[in-house]
Amino acid sequence: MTHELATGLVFLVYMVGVFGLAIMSNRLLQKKSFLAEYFLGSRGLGVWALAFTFAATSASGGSFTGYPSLVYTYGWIVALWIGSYMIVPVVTMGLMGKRLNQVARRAGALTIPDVIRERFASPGLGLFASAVIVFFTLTNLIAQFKAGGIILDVLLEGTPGYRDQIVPWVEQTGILSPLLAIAGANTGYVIGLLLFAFTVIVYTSYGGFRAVVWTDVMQGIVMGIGVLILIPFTMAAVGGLNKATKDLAERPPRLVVGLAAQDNAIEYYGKTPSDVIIHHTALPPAVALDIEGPPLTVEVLEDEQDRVQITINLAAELGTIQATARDVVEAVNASPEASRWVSASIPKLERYPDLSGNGLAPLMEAPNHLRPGRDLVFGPGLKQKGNGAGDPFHPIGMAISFFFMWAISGAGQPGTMVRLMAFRDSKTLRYAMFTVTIYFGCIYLPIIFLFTAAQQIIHPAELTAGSDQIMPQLASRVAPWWLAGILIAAPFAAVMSTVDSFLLLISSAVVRDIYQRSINPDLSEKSVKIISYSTTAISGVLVTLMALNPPRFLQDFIVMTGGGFAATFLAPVFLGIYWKRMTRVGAWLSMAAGFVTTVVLFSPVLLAAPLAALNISWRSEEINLFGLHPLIWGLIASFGLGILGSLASPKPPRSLINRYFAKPDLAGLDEPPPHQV
Amino acid sequence: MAEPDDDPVYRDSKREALIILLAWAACMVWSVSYCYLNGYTRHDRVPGEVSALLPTLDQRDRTLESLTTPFGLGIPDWALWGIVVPWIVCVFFSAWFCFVYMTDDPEPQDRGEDEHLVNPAVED
Repeated sequence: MTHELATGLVFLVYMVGVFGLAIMSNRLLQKKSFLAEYFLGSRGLGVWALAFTFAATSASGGSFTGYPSLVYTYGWIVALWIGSYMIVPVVTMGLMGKRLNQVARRAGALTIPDVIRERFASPGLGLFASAVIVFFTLTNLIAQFKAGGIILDVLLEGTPGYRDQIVPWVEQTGILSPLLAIAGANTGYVIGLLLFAFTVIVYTSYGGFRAVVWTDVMQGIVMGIGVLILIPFTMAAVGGLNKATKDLAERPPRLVVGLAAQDNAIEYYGKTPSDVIIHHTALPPAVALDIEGPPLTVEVLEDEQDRVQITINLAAELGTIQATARDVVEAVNASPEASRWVSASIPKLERYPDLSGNGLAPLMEAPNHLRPGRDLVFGPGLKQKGNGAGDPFHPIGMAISFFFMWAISGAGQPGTMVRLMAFRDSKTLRYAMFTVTIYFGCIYLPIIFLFTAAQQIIHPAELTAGSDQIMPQLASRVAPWWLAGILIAAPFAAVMSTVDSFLLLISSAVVRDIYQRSINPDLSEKSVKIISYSTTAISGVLVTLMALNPPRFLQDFIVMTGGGFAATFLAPVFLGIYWKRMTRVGAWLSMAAGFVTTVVLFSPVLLAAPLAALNISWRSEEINLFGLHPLIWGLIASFGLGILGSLASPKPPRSLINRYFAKPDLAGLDEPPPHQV
Repeated sequence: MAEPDDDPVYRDSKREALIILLAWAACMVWSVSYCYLNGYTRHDRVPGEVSALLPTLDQRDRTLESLTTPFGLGIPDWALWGIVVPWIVCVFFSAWFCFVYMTDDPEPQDRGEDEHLVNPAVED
């Protein structure tokens, strides 16, 4: 059986499983209190459900695409980058789990804004929290839907009849013409997006929280087993990890020239940055008119000092050409001389900024740099793309930041915290915490071994769709068809398990926090049901439409979602459940300071596109003050102002403190919650 | 300051949270400093960044020849002692924390707290 057919089969089985779980979940939904079951599984999650929904929600699509790609590109230093995962389960689940669960029960809270609103007796705070959640989640969902559409399009590529019958039929009948016009993309992507959206919207809307959790369990187990089984096949292919690491370390240096746009630099063989020199020249108009095909040609020669001179002749005026990276690669590869020096192609069709002038490299921000084999077994590594190409990949400031990023920031994600409100009892939490510790150890450590070794099996030039494809490529190369099928489908399952949680997060914020608690509290059970189902579905449809052609400014917000969430929510929730003196004023200041600090430090990223449209030159990377990630500054601002604001304002009323901090018999649990101001 | 009327879940959770934060800090200090000292080919001190606060560490710059993979595992020495071994220690810590240290507090539903679930939905 071919890998493509196996993938199709795995996908089919997966779909049947997902819809089956949604139907079972909906049956359960009919027997319980609707809102608590639909958004929180009636606080009844057991060990396996809690462990795997937690793991699968944390392990987004990036765990099976971006993370393996980083290991493959940067080698062993990524072990330090991901190192905090050794303690992530204990921190993210244990730091607040038991206490947050208790406070949520006492508050009768179903969502994080609910907890904040009740603990600080402030509807305004609850609404602000909901607004932040809706905004960040929506922008992130658009990116995740886009990724889902692309992955599904690639997955279906090899399915018999898809490319040669279904896609042409769709194009001929024109049934998707309006969507294709919006998307400005190929038919395959639109079909993939619609199929992905239909699946995830239907099972999330219909089954609610419990369907999401059950599918997470299924996905988590399958993905974990897939990675573990891949280990022996890969190690057999490379002759063991010891040999793979040794070969990697001794690999001859390659010179990376900042020629390509963003994702993949062309690699040249060379020993020093001056070994390969790039010139750009404009061809005379008469000659340029005669050129067919790509608007450039390449000449290569070795000069008397043994340097390689590569001249790129542009069939247009300097500064005006818009050649694609592929044009450059094709032209370079067409030259027999150049092929001696070019070791990789550029997989992505990125345009590179206007070329102008002559020089060592066309992009001053992406200088030539050497990448010796030792860079892949030691730190700090070198950034391979973007404006910072050639800078250290993981300097000490970032190494510290990523211990905050994964562990501390992970504890402050609303999607994570809401799961801590859903478990049955503290025994469940203890067992689930240990299960996740084992699970992460079995996933994240082996991925380092697998993909540093993958360097010996797959050359970057073979990854024609980018290094994000390294996991399915490796699986196709070394594993039997059934395992390859599972691992090729893994990124799809991972994206889905993240998307479904986000979809419910938006829906709960709108239905529970905004509509029911602020606009119309006297809803009947029937109306609550209709509004919940339809809000989840409508949110999904809206996101699908936006994912057809995502607005640029929304995409820019995605980079700060994780940091923004943690900086906004961690301090008020953590201080709110552990510190009696935390006041409403402190909570307001804490949330606002965390949110504003993150936005300000990410503003260069957010402003880059609008300013570029005005022809204003602008840095496009976030501000890492003292070399530390904006998240850390966001947390400092949020905790600092939260504490100062609380100390400077009057103490919270005794009734409020008793409700959440006193023994049950003194907490006034038989009375209505303290008056909301 | 703990008060006699404090809820036991609150008291226990606070004590457990402190242990967790200490464990996280210990992991960070050990892994980052060990890997930085022993796993980097160079230790640039960049003005205006955290690295400028550190002493000169040129003598600790690694060369390819110094690389070892202890026990023939194929894991670079710095990654083994800086990440893999601490990771295994963390698994044992997690087992101790989950099965020995962390207490099972009275179940919330046993104390009737769930009865106070705020659900303003009106039954038909």
